[in-house]
Amino acid sequence: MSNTLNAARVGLFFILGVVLIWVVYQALGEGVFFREDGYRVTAQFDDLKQLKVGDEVRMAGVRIGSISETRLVRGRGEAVMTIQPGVDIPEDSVATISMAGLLGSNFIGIRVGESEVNLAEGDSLTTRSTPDFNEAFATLGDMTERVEGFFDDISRAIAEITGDEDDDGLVRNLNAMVTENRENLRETLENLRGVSDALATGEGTLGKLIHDDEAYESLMNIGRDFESTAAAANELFADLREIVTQVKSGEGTIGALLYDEDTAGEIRRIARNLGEVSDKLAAGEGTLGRLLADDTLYHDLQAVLQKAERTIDGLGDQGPITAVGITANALF
Amino acid sequence: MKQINNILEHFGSTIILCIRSFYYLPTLPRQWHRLIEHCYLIGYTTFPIVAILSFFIGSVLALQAGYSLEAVAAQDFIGALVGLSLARELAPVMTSILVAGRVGSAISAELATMKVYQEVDALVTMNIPPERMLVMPRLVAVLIMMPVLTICANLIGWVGGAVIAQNVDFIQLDTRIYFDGIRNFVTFRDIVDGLIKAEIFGFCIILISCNVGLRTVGGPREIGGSVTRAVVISLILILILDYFVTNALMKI
Repeated sequence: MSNTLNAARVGLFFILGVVLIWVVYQALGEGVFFREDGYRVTAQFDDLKQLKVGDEVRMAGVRIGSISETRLVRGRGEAVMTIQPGVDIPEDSVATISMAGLLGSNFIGIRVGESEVNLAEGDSLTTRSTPDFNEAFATLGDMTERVEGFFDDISRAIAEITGDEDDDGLVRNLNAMVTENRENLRETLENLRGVSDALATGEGTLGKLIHDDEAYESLMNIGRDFESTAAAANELFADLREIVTQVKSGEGTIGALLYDEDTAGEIRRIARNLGEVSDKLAAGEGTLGRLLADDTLYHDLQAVLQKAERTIDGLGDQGPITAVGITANALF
Repeated sequence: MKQINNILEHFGSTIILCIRSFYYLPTLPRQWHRLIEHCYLIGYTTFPIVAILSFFIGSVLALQAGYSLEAVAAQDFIGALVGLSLARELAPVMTSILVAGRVGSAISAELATMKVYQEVDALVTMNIPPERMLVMPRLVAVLIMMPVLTICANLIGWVGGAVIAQNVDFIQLDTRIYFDGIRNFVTFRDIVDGLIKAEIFGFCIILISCNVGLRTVGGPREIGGSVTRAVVISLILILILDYFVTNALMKI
């Protein structure tokens, strides 16, 4: 085996080793000697959690860069991210720290914004904190306490309803009432059943109402009558409307009465005459006036009637006379 | 007392050997062909066994992880588990153990033989320090080759795990999910930590093997004893150092 061949083998082997170390270094990705290309943006968080240099930056789940530095800035954790060139992050994107798994490493997830303006070198991302497990469990603890309190209240309310041995609860009272009034309740129920039977067999007014067609028929008839009445009323109204139109146009007596000037004048004259007649009557002028104002006629009438009475009395004295006889006498 | 003295002597002589070897580092360009040769022996010829071993270590890790994680339905984490344990621990340690067994033993046997048959003495007589010609090129070669072997072990182990995870009936984990798990949980820092560990282990293995070989005293029987001692010390040292180096790297 020549010495040159050995030298070549050793050289190759050594180069292989160096290449492998380089490959491992690249695969495990911690940019110390060779920075990842791209621009750098920062994001401040209250708590960086387990974020460390070399962790991924993802947008919509796709790796777009890595954390190149973590530092403390005025009590807040600041992560410096190196974003691959060509990946644009809208200005209003939001960065959150997410967990890749329960025990796994964290990564920064960027929710894409809608702004037209993209972040440039050195810009800062807005961030939103995500609750970690400790906070979540603390909240859960509070909730458990509240739920326990709720159930305590419920059990207390149930105790109040059921009542203790010495305390009268609602259920206990109800029970006592039912026990005391058992007879009455049974009677009431029996009566109810009787009523229900009667209804079922069609007895009584309600029963008939339910079972008999007659009531329905008569109701239907009433309905029909109403309908015809309504039709007649319609006709009547139509006629009335016609009359009104005629009156308005001055046709017929009432039309003339209302709309004719001459008629109005005549009516006025008649009214005047009537006024005069009435005045004369009041003053006792004329036959009618005297009849109303003078009582002579009354006295004369009274005297005539007295005479007639006397005559009939005289007739009665002349013996029993039949009604026919009187009638005959009166006639002949 | 004698044993403690012995251990301290070993320890001290190893450090002295290390310092002397680095003293001769500038002579490396003149020994280029020797460096290539040792690289070939340490790296290239060790690669197949490292590849086979790491493939099956990855496979068995995925299998065990799938079997265990099936109970909690967390099979998505097989990739993370296999990737992390290989990168941080198993790839460097297993590669080092293989190097100790395959290369360390050979080196200590060679040097022990040279020492026993007084070749080393002959070199010294010719004013050629054994550290310069025998130790320094090997140390440089192992420093060059350990990362290469370890990264290969890592990747082959990962692929082995992926193959098993996808094809075993009760796991059937998609390869993409498996490698996503690796990508999410294994950082380059983990890999570098593993490579640093492998570098340290490899350096210690070669140093100890050379030292034990060069300190062999006696007849041919001692050669076997030296080899055994070199491998045992290397393995123990790898596992003890592993803890401390890992601890130190975690704090950095």
